[in-house]
Amino acid sequence: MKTDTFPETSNKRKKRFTRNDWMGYLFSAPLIIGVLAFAIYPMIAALIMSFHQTSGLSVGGKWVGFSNYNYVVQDALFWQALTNTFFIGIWSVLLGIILSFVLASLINNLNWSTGKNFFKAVFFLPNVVSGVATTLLFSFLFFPSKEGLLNFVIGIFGIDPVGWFTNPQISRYSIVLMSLWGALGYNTIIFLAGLQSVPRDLYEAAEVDGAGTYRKWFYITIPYLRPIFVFMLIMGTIGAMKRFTDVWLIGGTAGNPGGSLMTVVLYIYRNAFLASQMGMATAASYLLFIIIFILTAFLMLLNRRKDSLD
Amino acid sequence: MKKLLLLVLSCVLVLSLAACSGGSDSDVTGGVEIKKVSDMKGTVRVALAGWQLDNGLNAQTGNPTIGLNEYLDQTFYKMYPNIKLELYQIPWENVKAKQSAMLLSGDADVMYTGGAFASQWYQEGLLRDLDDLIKEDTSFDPSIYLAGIMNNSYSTKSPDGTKQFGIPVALGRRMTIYDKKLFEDWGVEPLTAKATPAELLEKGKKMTGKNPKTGEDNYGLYWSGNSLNGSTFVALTLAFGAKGAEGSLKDVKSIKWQLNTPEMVKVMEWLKEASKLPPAGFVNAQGGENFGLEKNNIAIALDSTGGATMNEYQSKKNKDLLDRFEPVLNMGPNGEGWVAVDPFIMAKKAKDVKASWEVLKFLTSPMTQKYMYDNFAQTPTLKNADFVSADDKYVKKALEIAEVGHSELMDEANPFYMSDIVPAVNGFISKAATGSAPDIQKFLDDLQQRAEKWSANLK
Repeated sequence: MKTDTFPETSNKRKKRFTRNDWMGYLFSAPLIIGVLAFAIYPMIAALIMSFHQTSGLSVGGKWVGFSNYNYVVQDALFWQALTNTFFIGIWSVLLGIILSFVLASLINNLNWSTGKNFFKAVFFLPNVVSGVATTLLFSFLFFPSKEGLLNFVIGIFGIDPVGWFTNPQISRYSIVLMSLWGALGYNTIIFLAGLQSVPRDLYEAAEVDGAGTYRKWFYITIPYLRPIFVFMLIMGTIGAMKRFTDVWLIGGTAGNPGGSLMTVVLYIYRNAFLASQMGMATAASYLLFIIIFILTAFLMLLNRRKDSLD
Repeated sequence: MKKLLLLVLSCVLVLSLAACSGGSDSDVTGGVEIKKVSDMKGTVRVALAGWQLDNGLNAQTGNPTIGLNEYLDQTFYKMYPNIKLELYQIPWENVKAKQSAMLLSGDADVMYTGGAFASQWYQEGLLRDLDDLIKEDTSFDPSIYLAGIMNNSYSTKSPDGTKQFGIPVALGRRMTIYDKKLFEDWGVEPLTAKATPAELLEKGKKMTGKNPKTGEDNYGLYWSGNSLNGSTFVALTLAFGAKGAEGSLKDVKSIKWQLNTPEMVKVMEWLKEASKLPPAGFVNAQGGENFGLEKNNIAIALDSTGGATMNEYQSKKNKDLLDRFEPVLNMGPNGEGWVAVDPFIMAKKAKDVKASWEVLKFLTSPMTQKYMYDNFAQTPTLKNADFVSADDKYVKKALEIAEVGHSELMDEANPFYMSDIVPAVNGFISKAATGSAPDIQKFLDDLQQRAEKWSANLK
């Protein structure tokens, strides 16, 4: 009977929330409130704002439906920014992963323990330097005349000064070089941790079968580290899509030279903080969110499909 | 021996402390006796962008500086003993977001900020009009301020020019400065007092190449190719009579864009030609680091401040550089250009309006402007800034330019100008510098179309 079962269910529910549970919720409340107030609320507010015509920071203004989204997707500048972001991102992520993996493998195979620690420290050092400091450093390193260090060095070989950050044909590659320097150490350390987790008996079995160093590397190390490669790819892609600080410091609002360093986040920044067009800026932000979401889901799906095949 | 060492160390410590506390007994009033003005009671919250509150040293000159706290102790608190000030010092970095938050949450009554921010906040309804307070207060004389700034700037006046929401307290210094030594080396006639774009281009071209006397590489012209507010572009539009747009910032949706007119073509043609003259790094604001100093290799710098030269003069008292770098007016028809104006403003939600007005009035007064000039070389906004040093020809020239200054639609208060036009022009300049400038008419037609589409999207 209903009257009989109801109190029983009620008792069961009561039992679920013990005093300990409440204490747990109480202690985690500051974090939950923090996440709600500073992550979830701004995300929802930004979504609402993207459907409004605003001229300031506060939510409000005229409801314009998808007008802001429509404007952004029809804006050639947005697509130019997206192309630049992808171009810089793909090169940085791919080269970054390959180089750091090679470096990690070389360090891992060193038999000299002091040397191992030395190289780990050397390659990780740039990672502790802030993005702003890195950019300033490279601005001087890549100074476009012969006073710049790099141009001075290539000048010794009779090569004319290169406009590393001033020539639109070259600037995006210069940014890739700069990001490689900054991110190599972190990636290398992660790969090193992964390399040390590969079971030794796999290598020993391969050696028994007559496998050499390269075969072991291709057929044991790389497949075993696939989750780390996927992790690097996902984190690298998200980071690359959010590129702002360095291009803003080097090229200003124009993404100079010639708009070649204009990225999606710079586009968002211009609309949000120079034009106070928060509606357009948040619409562009949500488009970027969708792009990152699709890319990440695609990369995770690739990994899952490979898992199922295994 | 230990006692002797301890004594020496103690002396060093005492002397160091004395040196570091420089200025604590300095007179900030210029000998004027400060008397009580009012018994008015109240608390005013003041948000200051980039002001120095404590005594310290000027990073550029090494001279001691008096912080705002001491200045207020010697002046304001004697004049208004019952008004309590709560000061919030906010670094310039990301100041707009921080001060916006303060205005939205009602956490500040009076603010010192950037003019463009003030203009945008006014349009968002976050600021209070000051006209009624000015009208009621006979002790406040608006005519002491430079008319071009007080009455014609988007940083202090409403977009339709009818309401006063800000009182100017600091100016940006932007003028044309040339190196007399390089002109002499090349045998080129000095710039005229109001050099036109054509004159600047012609003389700049003559002085680009190997210096005939020193054999060093010289550059005829310099300006920042990624300027945030496109101030060189503004001066050029004024010089060539290119309006860029017609209408009012009160109604940005109805602005009629004129970005592809023949006058604007002339502006871009000038920029295209001029882009070949500066050092390559100018597209990213590099290459002009030595302008105003001994090692300079640039003949003419646009939108320059004279700051480097003045700092050298103030720290080393060497007049050679001061004589060498000569300022002239800007490129506009009357010598005008874009003038940055930093005002004091009052929040719409100000808790104590009367006390806030007294504070705002004091912080924009000639006495405070003198204090800011003496300690931080801030350019005043007064018609009669008699405290400016006789040697400081750069501030004097900046005041001349400001006197004829006026806001235009090609101004940082215009959202499309800031978000799209300035970056587009900077992008054009950097392409022109590498010899791949886009077709000017097509470039301007595209910009015009973008502007029209932007306006249409707001309707």
